[in-house]
Amino acid sequence: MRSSCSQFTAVFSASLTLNLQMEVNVAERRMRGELEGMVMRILWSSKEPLSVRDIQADFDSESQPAVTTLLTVLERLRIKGQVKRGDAVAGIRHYSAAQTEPKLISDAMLATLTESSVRAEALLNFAGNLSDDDVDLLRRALGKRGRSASDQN
Amino acid sequence: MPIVGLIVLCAVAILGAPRLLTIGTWQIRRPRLAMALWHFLFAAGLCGAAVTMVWSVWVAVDANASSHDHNTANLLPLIMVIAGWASLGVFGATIALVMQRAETMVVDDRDVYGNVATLLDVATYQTLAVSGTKVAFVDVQAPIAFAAPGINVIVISSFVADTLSPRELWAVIEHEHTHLRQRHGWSKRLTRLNSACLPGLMAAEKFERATSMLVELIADDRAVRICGHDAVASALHKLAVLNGNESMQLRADRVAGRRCSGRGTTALAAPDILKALAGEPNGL
Repeated sequence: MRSSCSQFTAVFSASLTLNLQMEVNVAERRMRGELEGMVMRILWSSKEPLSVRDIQADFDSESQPAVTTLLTVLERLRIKGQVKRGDAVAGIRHYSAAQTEPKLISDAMLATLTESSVRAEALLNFAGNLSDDDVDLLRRALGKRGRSASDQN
Repeated sequence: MPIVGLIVLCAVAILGAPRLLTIGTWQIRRPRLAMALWHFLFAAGLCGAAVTMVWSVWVAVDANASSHDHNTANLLPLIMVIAGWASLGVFGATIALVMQRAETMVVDDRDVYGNVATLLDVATYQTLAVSGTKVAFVDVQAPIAFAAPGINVIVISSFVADTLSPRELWAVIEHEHTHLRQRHGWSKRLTRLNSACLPGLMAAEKFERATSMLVELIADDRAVRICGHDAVASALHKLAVLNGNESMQLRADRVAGRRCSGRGTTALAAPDILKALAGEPNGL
């Protein structure tokens, strides 16, 4: 009885630890995402490339992240292709946004509009939304076999 | 006996229409007729079902009333009343199902139109009114052209505007304008709702697929009547190559084939306002 009770306690505490760990990971990811967003907003609002110290100075004094944290965030954004890193001048690197804010938003909007077929149904696309059966019917009506003749030329 | 007739009508509309309307390839030549027949048979099926229900309720009420006056068999009125109430129950359940599916669809569509509005806010570099409809040109390097019926706007990417000649661009705009003008968005919504309410039913799927294809052919044909065969076929061909889309190429071949058979009208010149926007100022 005592053994099964201790097993239950062990499993319960392990599950609790796992849940807590997951919550911490989610919170960490959210914080990381927020920090990335804030860094991008600072870069978008600047006409010139900024150093890490410049970016740090743009944060409120109460919520200023450490330089090392900012370097990690900038490196992650650079790998994602959202930030460009300039050459080091006097040992200081400058960073700028790879895409303008409107371009990034329009790309994201277009991706949601064109990648999901369910969403695409709400729009009337010039390319149409024809199924394979419709394409077969068109081919038969035009007396074609396989891919259309113009494509093969 | 009339109820049996109405039930047969519903069965014919649901099961017979998809078979009847998908025989041969005549729909490609006469898309407007095919679309009208699909919607007529769909409406006939709906009306048949509604009349069957009302009739069964009326028969039930009548049987219930007459049972006090005449020596009707004891069970008959009871059965009729149960059938009548069952019909009302089915009607209520159907309405609830349709409302629930429609609500989901409206929320999804509103989300998409919200995304389109955001896209227009951040990427529009030029707006025009062509044939009374707002056309927004967005700075996007992808071959995209669509109509958003919920916000009554046609969206054309800068890539399409730069690639096409003024007449080809006008053909694309008239194609999309036809969708808005002839309320193709509502036709597609109706068939989507029908499919959502009757998942897995072949007839509903075929109705939705047929509508998706026929609206494109109808829009192609109207664009041909306004802009000419060459402009529409050429626009479809160029965008088919850019999109790698075989169905667009087949639509281009269909339009070009109609020119050879002598169908269509003389093309008008592209509006001057498009000449400044499109890629090739001299047209075709």
